[in-house]
Amino acid sequence: MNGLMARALYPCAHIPDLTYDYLEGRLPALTTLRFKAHLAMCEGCAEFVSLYTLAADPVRFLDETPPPSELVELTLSFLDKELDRERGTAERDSIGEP
Amino acid sequence: MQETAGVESGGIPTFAEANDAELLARLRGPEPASRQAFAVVVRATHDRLLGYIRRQLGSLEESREVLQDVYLAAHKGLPRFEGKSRLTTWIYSLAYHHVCDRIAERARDRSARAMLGDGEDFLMASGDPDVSRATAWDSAPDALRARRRAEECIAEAVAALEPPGCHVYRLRDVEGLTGEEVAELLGLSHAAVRVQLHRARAEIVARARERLGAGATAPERRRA
Repeated sequence: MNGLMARALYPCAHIPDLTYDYLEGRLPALTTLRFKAHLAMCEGCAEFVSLYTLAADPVRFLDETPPPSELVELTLSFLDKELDRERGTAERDSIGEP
Repeated sequence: MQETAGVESGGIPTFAEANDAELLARLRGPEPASRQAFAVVVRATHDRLLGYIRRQLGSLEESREVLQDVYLAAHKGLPRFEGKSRLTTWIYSLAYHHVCDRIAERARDRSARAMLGDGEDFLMASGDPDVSRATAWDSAPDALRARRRAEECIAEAVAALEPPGCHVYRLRDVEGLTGEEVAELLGLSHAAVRVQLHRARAEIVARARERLGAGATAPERRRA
């Protein structure tokens, strides 16, 4: 019965396309109400929207081991050496040194 | 490469304090100020860019190499940077292109090895036998455990995402760039970014549901 009522509000096939705008907060108020009412009565669509919401904000649970803090210093040190080397080459070129 | 902190101290402004025009002027100016300004840019973007590259390539060492190349390319390209996009978006676009190049190199290496018949592709294609299929999300006894399982499945689906959707998805949802920045970086219209992002998310959900054993209830598969 719930499934029938849910589909009377919106066909299930419309839910994925509405979900993008729902998460962006771009659905008109009445559409949002009908969308939410559908989810309250349709387990499959509610699950879809739950998973879609997780997929749209994955940063909290993706394996994000922060890089060791010394890496930025190593990168800066490498760049310093490379840029010094490039500058040295450019200066030698400009004065015609072999 | 040392930079002093804060405009008020009379030194180089931090990335957050400086606007792009101000930073660009310093970056294009004489040394040592230009080198100090470059260090500001590196410090401000390093961890985020390293995370982005590492998520594409996996290996930390290889990612560091690529990131170093990105910064060298940025330094070299600064005189040609017109300032039409934000400095961070431009550096991201360099990282994106370097990552694409590295992935293409890997593909060439793999196909060369496959031609030599070392069997690596066969091993890679055999999959992970330990990946167990979960029971339906909502039938798990513990909601928190079920959510964690759902997150694991989403993470696996994100890792398996392929181009073109994976580029838009990673830049927008993982790296947190705005839709406008992603559109500019990838040379797409806003509408195309929206379509690709939605498709990528929907594909992730579909794959996650397969893992969770709930594929049969996917709304797009049901008759309305």
